[in-house]
Amino acid sequence: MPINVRLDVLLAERKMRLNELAERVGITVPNLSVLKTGKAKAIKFSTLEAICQALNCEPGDLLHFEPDGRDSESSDG
Amino acid sequence: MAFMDAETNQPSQPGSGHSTGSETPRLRRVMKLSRALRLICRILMAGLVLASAATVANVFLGAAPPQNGALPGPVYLPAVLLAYLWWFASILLLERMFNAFLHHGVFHPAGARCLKWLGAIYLLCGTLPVVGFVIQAIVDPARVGELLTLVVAALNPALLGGLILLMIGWILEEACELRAEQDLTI
Repeated sequence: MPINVRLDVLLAERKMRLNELAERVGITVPNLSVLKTGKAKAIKFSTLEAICQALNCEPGDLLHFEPDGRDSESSDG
Repeated sequence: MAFMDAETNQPSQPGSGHSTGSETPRLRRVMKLSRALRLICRILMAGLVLASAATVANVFLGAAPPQNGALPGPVYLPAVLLAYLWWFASILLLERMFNAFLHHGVFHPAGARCLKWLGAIYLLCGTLPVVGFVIQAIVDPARVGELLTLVVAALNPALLGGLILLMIGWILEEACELRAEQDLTI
């Protein structure tokens, strides 16, 4: 998936653990782990809002778009 | 896989559809019914094995002549055994499907696969007479006139049932994919 979730980077920058974030956001650690490892298929706006509030960041800080090889080739050429 | 409660945004137990508290009675009901139906299937399978063994024994020991007078002796046993095999395969697939329901819930690819196989078996069973009639018509061109009537007669419930089962299996597979996507929505 070309959308990367940079939750681990944001957590490291804030020196926050996943458990702590889970408590603040109100989501279980397994679900946050799914999000962190990039296995999630979708994210609800409410979840995004809660995470952004807890980490004091913008949605753009959390989600990063990386076009895959084929897309970048076509856009280059 | 993780489950989320739609109301509270709280995740529930990850895994096989055993998600929210409100679902527990429903799941318990599904499990109870699946267990009972699986047991019935197993009893039927054992009965079929015994019945086929008894049939073979009867024919070979000459204890009982073939009951169906229309079938000649050498054809009787394979035809009856084929019928037993068809029933056994159908019930085995049902047993596996209920087993999958019991362990993984209704929305699982294993159950969908069983349903599709069951549909394929019924479809084959419904298609064979049509093929037979076509071959008969090719071998004996004088019967071509009867072909349409025979083919229409061959469109039996097994054919329709097989198609319906295949369609339900396909829908169940799609539902499983939707379920998986929903489970991975955080």
